[in-house]
Amino acid sequence: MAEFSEIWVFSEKPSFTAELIGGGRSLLPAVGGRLTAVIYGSREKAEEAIQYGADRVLWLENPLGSEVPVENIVPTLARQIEDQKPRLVLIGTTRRGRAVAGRLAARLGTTVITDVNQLTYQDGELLARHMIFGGGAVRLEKPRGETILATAGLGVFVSPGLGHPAGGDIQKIELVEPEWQVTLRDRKVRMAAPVNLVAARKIVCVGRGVGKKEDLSLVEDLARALNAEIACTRPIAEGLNWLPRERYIGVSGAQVRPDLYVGVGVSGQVQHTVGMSMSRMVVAINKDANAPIFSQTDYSLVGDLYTLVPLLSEALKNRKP
Amino acid sequence: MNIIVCYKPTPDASDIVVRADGSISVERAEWILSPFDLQAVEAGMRLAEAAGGKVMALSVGPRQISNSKLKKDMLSRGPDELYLVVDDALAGADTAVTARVLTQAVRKMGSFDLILFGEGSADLYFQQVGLQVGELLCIPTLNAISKIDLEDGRLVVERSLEDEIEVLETSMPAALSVTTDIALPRLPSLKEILKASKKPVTEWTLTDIDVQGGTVKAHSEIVAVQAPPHVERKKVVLEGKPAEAVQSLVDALQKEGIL
Amino acid sequence: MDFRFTDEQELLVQSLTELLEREAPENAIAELDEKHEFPARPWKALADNGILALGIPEQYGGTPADILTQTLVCEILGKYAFPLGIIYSLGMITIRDILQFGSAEMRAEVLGGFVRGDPPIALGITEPQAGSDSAALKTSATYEGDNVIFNGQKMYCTLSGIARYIMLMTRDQNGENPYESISMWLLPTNTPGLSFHLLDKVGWWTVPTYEVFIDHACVPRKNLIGAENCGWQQLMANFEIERLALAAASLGAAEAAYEDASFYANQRVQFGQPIGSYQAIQHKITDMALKIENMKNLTYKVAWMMDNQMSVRVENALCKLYVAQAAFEVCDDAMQIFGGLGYMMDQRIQRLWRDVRLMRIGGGTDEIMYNIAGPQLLKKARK
Repeated sequence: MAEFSEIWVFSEKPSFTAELIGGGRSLLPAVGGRLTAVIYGSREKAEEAIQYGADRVLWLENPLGSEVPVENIVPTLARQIEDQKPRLVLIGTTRRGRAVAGRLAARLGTTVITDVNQLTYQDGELLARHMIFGGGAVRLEKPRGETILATAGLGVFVSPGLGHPAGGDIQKIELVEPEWQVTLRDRKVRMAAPVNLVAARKIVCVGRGVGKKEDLSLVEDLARALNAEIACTRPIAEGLNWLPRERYIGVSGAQVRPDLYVGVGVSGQVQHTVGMSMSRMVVAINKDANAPIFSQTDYSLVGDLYTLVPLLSEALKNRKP
Repeated sequence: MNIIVCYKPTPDASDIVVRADGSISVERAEWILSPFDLQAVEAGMRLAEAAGGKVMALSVGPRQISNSKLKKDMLSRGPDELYLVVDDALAGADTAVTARVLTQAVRKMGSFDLILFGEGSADLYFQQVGLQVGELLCIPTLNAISKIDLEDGRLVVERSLEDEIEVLETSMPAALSVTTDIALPRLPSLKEILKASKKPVTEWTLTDIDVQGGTVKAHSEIVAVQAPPHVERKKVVLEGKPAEAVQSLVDALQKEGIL
Repeated sequence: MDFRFTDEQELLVQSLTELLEREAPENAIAELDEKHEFPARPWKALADNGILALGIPEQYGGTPADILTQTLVCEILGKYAFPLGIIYSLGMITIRDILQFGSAEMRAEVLGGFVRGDPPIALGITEPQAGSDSAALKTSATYEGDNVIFNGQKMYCTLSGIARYIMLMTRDQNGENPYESISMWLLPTNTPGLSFHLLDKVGWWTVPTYEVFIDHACVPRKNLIGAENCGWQQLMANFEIERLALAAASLGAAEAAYEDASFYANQRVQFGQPIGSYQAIQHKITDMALKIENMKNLTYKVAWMMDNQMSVRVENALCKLYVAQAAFEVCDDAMQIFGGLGYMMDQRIQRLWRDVRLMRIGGGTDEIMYNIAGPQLLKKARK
């Protein structure tokens, strides 16, 4: 029977770290033990982690204005893990997070349980749940090994909020020089308005049925009439680049559980629907009567979205409260 | 320039069968190439064509990967040579095992400048193996690469992160996991398909690449693979003229308390 | 008997299917159809990906391929983008006639152009008074020095207005036997004296058909394809493969109609159940599947026989006859399954229904197929 002595969490994004602390803490009551947050950043960030509920912080100072990429801390993290042997290291699933997790796994001779959507402790063993086959199946597994590596996406765990008293145990750690270097030549900022799809109660989702980028205004009207957030399927964000990546719902994008999901011109491929299948109510507008989405819809409008969407926006605006 | 592209054939997800007990079976599925891997192959082909060089495709797995149609399919996409490590012990291998076996195979293949990986595998999509292989080989290893250029023997890449694109420079050899938008895969013509069966294929066993039995032990116990939870939907089709149907929807949403 | 396709054929089908998904998705075809516009971009994509090179010798930029492989290509084109299947099939006869009977210069010019993406050469044979009775054609060819002058009229000359050439059939009215008085010529469509009048059809909207008026059109003598007065035999040499190609494309269209209808049957709920749970629909679907199975077997077998140099005079006629009728019946049943929705212009089934109906007439009518097969069959039964 393994004992959870330490759960470590890490993300290069502070908001993520907060959620991971919440998630890690939820596993502690069953076994006792301590939650350590690994913070790569300023002292303020380290202290914030304590206030989110970390029992201890391992702090690697990243002086302001430093261009040292996050990934360069992998040897440092690996050394700490080898020395202290935490039972579980939970890393936030960002692209950088994936890189850190993968490289750590190679150094530690283990695998990573990626994109968990549920972690529980059962009979002395950790049970992890995640999607495979592009959302077509759910896999339950029990990771083995001295230190378990896992990653989790935004929205899987809940941030505890800054409720805990300040002044916890903050240990400064030193950087281990990485074996190879990458030089940062330039950064091009992507125009991404902050959006939290996971928190949205109503979502209007754009699919390939919408023919031109200019037509998004139709959808925006509807979203306004519903007081909903706008999301899209993967091709709209990644292929056509009409909307930023943060807005796409799918197995490798956001997983949402709104009260209302309205798919406009969404065909309903499983890679997308797995991201919204837990919505309370699903409405779909599509002119293809055979679109897969209609088998997962509560209310269907089969017809031309260019006719139906403006009518719907009007009807919503004019309804009697 | 020598470029290795790693790929993983998998059972076609559209042939998944859900058994009565909710578990998943892929027994009747045909094994196919993954679009993620084809993107990596295309990236490799374009680099080799521009800089002059050779592309070698590499895969490790159970006997299904040695299927003649799969081999020809991969070779028809452009690679000059194909290498396989075939052993049924690799069926369902986790990322750590796969990475270790790939690393041994790469060592046997000789010198290389770049190893490319797709964004993730088509079945598990854990997006790990490329990073692990690079780390095991102790070479610069990066993921989320959306553009690759060569400048005076150095690698200059664009890395697509959530908020920004980093332009990074590093040395070769290097291991890169690419994004889906790195390159639209070319479609093989009949000419390329016919050429495929004439290209060299090398098949190794685990022993050939000095991998011991213990290396393929799993790092995780799989408890179950099941169909995802199913939410029963009303499937009400709102009919009538557009204005009527739309009004029915608004009424329904109001009644459900959504509005 | 091994009914499997080769790895290479399966890979080609896979590659072509994906090409069509990218370059000729259904909404693009529907839009072209609505606009009555020739599918220039998808056709060019076929050229760029080596599809048009199939069956053409390497020296002209082609890739050798057997007839079964080309049949498969027609079927896939017919299934995902029927107009492309039709255009490809129409090219079969003219391209092959040039290959077999054209001069070196003609072959280089025409075949090279086709591989690069030119529309196929239009066949100019039918005239107002000469349909099934094609030997009743009257368009004349008169020599004048080093040139030849054409006069006459062609009817239902598909693609002629946009192709670079017409394969023109002329007849010497003084000849004793009409079938030995027909000559075949390569006529550039920009030759002065030609005028094209676009015809308005029930279907095939993206494949333009013209009435062509030929008034003293003059070309060099060397534009004669093959030998003088041997035009009929030369044409007959490749009519069979064209019929096979049209049959394969129709089979593909029937498969598309079948897929649409069977998916719909599972979705459409009436009287509280999906209509696919009712026997009436299940029986229809079974009949449709049976016809498709039959069409496939007959089509592939004829292709195989031709690849093995066997005579297919009867089998080819049977294939065209059966497939043209069965493919339309499948489309018709599919429309029935769709009910009212099937009659709407924004669904695919109406286009398949309209387009496939012509197959009982074009490329040789049902009646002519009977005329070819009937006597041959009875000949075999004589002592």
